Amino acid sequence: MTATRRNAAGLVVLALAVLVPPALGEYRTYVLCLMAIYAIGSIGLTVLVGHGGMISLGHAGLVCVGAYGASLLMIRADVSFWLALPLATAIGMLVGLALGYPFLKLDGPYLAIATFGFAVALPEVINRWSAFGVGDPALFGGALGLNPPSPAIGSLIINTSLRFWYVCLAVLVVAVLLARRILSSRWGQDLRAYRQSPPAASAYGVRTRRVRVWSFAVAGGYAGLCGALLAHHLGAVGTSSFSLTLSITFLMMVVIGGVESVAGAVVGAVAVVALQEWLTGQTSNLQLWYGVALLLAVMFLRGGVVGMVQARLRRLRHRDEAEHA
Amino acid sequence: MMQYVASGLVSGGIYATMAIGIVLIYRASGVINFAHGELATFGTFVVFACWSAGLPLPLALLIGLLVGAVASPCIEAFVLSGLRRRTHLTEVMATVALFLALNGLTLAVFGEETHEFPALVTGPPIEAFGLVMSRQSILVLVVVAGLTLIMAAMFRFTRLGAAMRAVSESRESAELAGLPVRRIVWSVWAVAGMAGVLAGVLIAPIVYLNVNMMIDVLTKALAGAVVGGLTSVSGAITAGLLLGVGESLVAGYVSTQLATPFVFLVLVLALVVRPQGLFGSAPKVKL
Repeated sequence: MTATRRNAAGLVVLALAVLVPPALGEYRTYVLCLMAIYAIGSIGLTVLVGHGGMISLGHAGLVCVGAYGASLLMIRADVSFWLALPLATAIGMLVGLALGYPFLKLDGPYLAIATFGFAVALPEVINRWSAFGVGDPALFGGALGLNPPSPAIGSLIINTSLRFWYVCLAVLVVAVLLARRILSSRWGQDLRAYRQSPPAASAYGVRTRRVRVWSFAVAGGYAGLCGALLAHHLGAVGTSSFSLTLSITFLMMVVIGGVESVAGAVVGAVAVVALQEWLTGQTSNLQLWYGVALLLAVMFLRGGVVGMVQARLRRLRHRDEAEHA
Repeated sequence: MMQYVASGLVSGGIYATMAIGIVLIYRASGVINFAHGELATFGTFVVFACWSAGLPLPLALLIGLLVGAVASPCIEAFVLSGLRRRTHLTEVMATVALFLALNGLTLAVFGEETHEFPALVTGPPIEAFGLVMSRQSILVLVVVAGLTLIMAAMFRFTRLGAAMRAVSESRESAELAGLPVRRIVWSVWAVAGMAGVLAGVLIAPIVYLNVNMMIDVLTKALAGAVVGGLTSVSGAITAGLLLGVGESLVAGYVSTQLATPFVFLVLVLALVVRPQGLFGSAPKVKL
């Protein structure tokens, strides 16, 4: 697709996203919000996994950090929701950096295990916080979790899904545009060079250590932002929302959409949430169908949905050109 | 103190039995099999179903082990070989997908109830050296010791063991030397699958049989495998046992709440400080 066509397609989608939801009703809009929020998180994972070639089974842990960070800021420090969003992003980036440094030397399966450990350990630590005897034992709200207040613009309280949808949409648009910027920058090129071959990238002057660590920070930032929005969306923040399954779900979004594209991350989030909603009505055995869907996607959906569409368009164009010639 | 060490050795022995499977598969295929625990759960349920149907327990165990030995190589033969592009990412995703799918399959076939699982040996606990241990616990220790010896003997003295070592050293050279590489890799997966089911049968009487029984065990076995170096079977056994003892000591002297976080602390420290593990060889850089 040419740049102008792509922009036109983007604007059409955006117009639909603004105009259609008022006609959808509360529950469907609620689901739409979830799609947008997960899309933001999965963009972050696309940077790390798709462009950086690093495996993370711990993305839900970073989202958890964002959700708890934002909630604590709002409850304990009386920070407004609007300030909590960028602050949660910053916290996510910091934690991403803190993970990126120690994990610098780890690759492939080793990195998968390390991030897996992080994702499983973080909820355990939060659940058992009082046993550590550090700080306030009720810091994370114990078994009840945390209840962040609803955001407001002046006297307009964001307490319906429709109002929150416009917030999510605005944040998602900014997140998408920013991700495209980041990935088309010099840094994005360096990251892809690193994925192709770390030693070769290094030989061409890419500062591989820095690129790697920052890719964790970018993933963490997006995850933090996603977590802050998710905290409000869920209403109550507890560790059960950030299980290993959520980490796998994020990977699923990235793989189904197409690991390398920002649009793929959004498409993947929409597809996975839709699948989740549909399955919930059909069966209580979600993990079986999740596993089967993910397995089929890994085995047969090369390049994901977006990659397949792109390949189809390219083939059509070739045929057009052949017929005209 | 000694009582804590003894009970830690028992849970550590089960982690070690699982870790053996993870290491064998990693050596043969270069894959971390996140589905290993769920395969074990499925096999354990098969044992339970056969036993409930009236078969004697040893026969049920044999059937379960066979299921493990057949199902495990299928992962390599049908799923991993079916990947069009075999990268670390697709391999990890595939085994993670199987983790979910197998968990769901076990749930669909056997239901979500928790069952009491028969111990392989029964009888009053044995007292020796001032320790009190159930017969099942002693059996675990015997099995781990036996497995250690069998593994060591297999790698050192049998043709299959030598072939396994050759394949994990270099697939290409093993193929050039005329070894039936695919069959060897499948046998390794089969041995690993049996060890997994055995671990499941050993732990089921302790934690009760449930669909999600092995998730926690797999996490700890992964930690054991990594601390031991991922490529070393003896390292995984040693690390699995040490991890169990450490966990038990933390639970006994500090707080039961902190036992699991302790395992993760060890895992992360091991990865950061010594990624090649206590006994493994340094991970190779792929150019």
